[in-house]
Amino acid sequence: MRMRFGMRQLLGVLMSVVLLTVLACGSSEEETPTPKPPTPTIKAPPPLVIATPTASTAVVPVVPAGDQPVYGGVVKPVVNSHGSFDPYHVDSQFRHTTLGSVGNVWGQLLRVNLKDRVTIEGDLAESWKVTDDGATWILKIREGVKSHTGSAFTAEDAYWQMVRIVERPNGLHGNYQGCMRAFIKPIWDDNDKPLANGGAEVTGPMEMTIRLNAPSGAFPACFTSGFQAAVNSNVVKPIDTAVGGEYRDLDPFAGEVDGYGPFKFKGAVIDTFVSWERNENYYNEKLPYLDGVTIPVIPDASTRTAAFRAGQIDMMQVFETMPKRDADALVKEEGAVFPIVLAMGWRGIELNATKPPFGPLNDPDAKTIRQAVQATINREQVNELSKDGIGHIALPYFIGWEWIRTPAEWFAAAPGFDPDPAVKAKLIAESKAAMEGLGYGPSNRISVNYLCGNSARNECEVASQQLKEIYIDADVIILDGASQRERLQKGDFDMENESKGASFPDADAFNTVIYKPYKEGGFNYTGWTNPEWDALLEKEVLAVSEAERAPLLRQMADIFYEDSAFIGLVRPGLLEGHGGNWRGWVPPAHHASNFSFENVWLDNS
Amino acid sequence: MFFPTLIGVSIAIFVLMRVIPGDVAALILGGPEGEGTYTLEDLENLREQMGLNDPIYVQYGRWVWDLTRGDLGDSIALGRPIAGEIKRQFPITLQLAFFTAIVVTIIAIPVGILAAVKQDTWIDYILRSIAITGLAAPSFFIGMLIILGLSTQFRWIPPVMFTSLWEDPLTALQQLIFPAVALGFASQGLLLRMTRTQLLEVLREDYVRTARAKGLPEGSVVRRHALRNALLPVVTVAGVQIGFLFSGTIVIETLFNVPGIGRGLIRAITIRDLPMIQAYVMYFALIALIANLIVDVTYAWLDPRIRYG
Repeated sequence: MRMRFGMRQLLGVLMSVVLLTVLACGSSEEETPTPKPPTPTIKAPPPLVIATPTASTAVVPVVPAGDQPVYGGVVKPVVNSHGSFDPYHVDSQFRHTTLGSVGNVWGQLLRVNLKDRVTIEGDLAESWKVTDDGATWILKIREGVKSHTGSAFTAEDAYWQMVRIVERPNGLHGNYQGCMRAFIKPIWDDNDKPLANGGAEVTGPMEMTIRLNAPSGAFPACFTSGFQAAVNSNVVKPIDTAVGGEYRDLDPFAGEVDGYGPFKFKGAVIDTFVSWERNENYYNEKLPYLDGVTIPVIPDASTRTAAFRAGQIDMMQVFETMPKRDADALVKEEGAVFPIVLAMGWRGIELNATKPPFGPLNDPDAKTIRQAVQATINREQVNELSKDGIGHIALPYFIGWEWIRTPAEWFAAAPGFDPDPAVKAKLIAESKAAMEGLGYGPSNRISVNYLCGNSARNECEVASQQLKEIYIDADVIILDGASQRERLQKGDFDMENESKGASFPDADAFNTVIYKPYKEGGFNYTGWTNPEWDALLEKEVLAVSEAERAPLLRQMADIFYEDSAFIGLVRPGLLEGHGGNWRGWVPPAHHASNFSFENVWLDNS
Repeated sequence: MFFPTLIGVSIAIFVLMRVIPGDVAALILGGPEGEGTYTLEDLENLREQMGLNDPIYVQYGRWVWDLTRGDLGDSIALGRPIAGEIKRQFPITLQLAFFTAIVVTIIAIPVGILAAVKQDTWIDYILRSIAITGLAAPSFFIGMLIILGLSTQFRWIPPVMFTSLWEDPLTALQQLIFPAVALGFASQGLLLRMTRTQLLEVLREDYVRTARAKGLPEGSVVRRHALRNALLPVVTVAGVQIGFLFSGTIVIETLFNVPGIGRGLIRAITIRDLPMIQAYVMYFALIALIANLIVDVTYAWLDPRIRYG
């Protein structure tokens, strides 16, 4: 007797199928995906404008020219992990929830204008003046600014922001406010008592004075960088002055994320999402246009792409750059916009100039070998093969600052970076001849190790192949960051691949962070020093205007090129894609520019 | 063997985490991406403070002592207690595993029975083909196909912001059904084939022939006489599958953005959060051992010969 597959069983199967279908297609908490525009728009990369911020109190129109903003809607940028909710405990990876929260949730005293990305404007400080000696900044606090919980923003709050940055009470992390500590005088003495004429002082009911160690042309860029969040002294003072206490991150679930920005903290589920809503009491009554920002946490890259297609997110995370082919597909198929955003900083090969073959520094043969490496590396090829061809050359002081040099001037001064194939061919031939002059050749090659992080594997392999042309066999060794750092500190390497973002958008960030020896907190493991360069740096840090600084920086760059301990390669171009219906958004240059969605609105027409 | 196995796993993972390149102190100071600045002196001070300069058996003893008190240490990357992370993530993974087990069981066993009673018919061929596909295709591959298919063809994927089953059952079901299918597809293949094979074997036994000869309906013969005996090896395999199922969550949770233990482990590995990796491995070992223990108990319940043997 055989078992029958009766109507009841059939009905059961059918119901299961229907249930699965309903579950799959049912409503979700997510908003309806934004309608796609009929034709995809490919937005050209923004101009590479990285100028020194210019002080101005001029009010910039908030309404994008030619468009009529509409209110409402929620944008959904994604993060791979939300990180800390404390703006002074951000890590090196830019996230919408960390560095991105500074302008959106916390607010800043001064910031760079969100449209032109150059002009300095008052945010929570209404205006400011700089004394004639250039070393004292007096800020007038904006009247009527209230925190998200309703407490008034005062000079006292601004003062405690400076204390948090400069004094780092209770072991506060504050890794990315190092430039402020370098520029501003100490505020407290060793007993945590305010110093007379210290680095920050409340000098009026709505006035705070900042005193610098010396005048500085780089200070405005540091002060307006995206890391300088305004904090509510009612929240931070008890934490930062707790006797015998330890620093702890601000707790969003205890009401400690209380800022002054256009959006306020609405809620979060750890490892799942963070959401902000419009701050109805924002000092600029017309802003923001959006109702809120919801930031889902999605660690996996392919899931992020799928979520973008499904309309569950509408902005990608910068520094989690997807391959260009995927971005192109989203532009074509989903109407997304993918501007190529700058990643400021330096990326390249550090040569160990303390020992052969690239050292010691005073050995002319070693210098010849370093220069041969500098001239031989083909950055165009590295860019094509490891950065999808959208990276930018990692010259000292960055090619985008045209007040230092235009691209043509840079290539004339540093021909090893010139993309012209004829120039490159000539340089390689000369380098090869120089190496042969030192006795190297096909039967007498140099063998060196080349330490690389996993994320730099491709560029290391490309560079390694290129160096074979001048008789250098570089053995690429892939290491995790910590192991690599350990070997670098011990000097146990010949070549290493380094990548370091500028901690504030100014040429001085390269000097203070990247070229400073590691023993002083920088990323220079080469052993390279140069008294002439040091002397120029001393002058440069005291120079205030671009006109004074530019010639000094040019000379410093030329010394780098001549000494060739740092071999610049290519910084990545970041594909920070967003929905095609976004309006009013001008992407900042990363790592450290200020950032806010307050002018963004959604064109759903 | 429960405790010896657990101790063995703890020694293996502890030693492994110390022989692979990478120093926990350097990771803390330099950050997962190695961009933090520190001196060798800072490194040495932290190593001393963390007890990393002690002999490895001292470090192991300290770790095990802390484990027994429920102190798994702090995550390097998150700066939060690991125990709290696991406590938050475990119910989510359990929901997924439970859902998968239901999907697997309600599909594999009835379908396996159907394949057995319809042996060598077109129904049997189709079901066996599906089972073999399940065995051949890894769960992450099925998961990727599902995500890719849904996003490109329907512009829809399960909601990426996870919701608890108790807060919003409908949304939670949408989020769980697809990872459960992906995760359960391989397991159902094995269980389906196992059920079919075992049932066919039992159906040829003399006592089954006797039951039929008594004039019992076929359904009753299968349900009351054959199935219970046929399910014994199936239960054993199902128990082993629970271990695989939990390990399968590692990739599937990441792919479907389910913030459970599996996604946590992937993150810990990606950023080399060594204390977290140790804790997660111990967790997975514990789950596998408990699953085996449950199988043994169930086996005894199903088979009186084992219970009274």
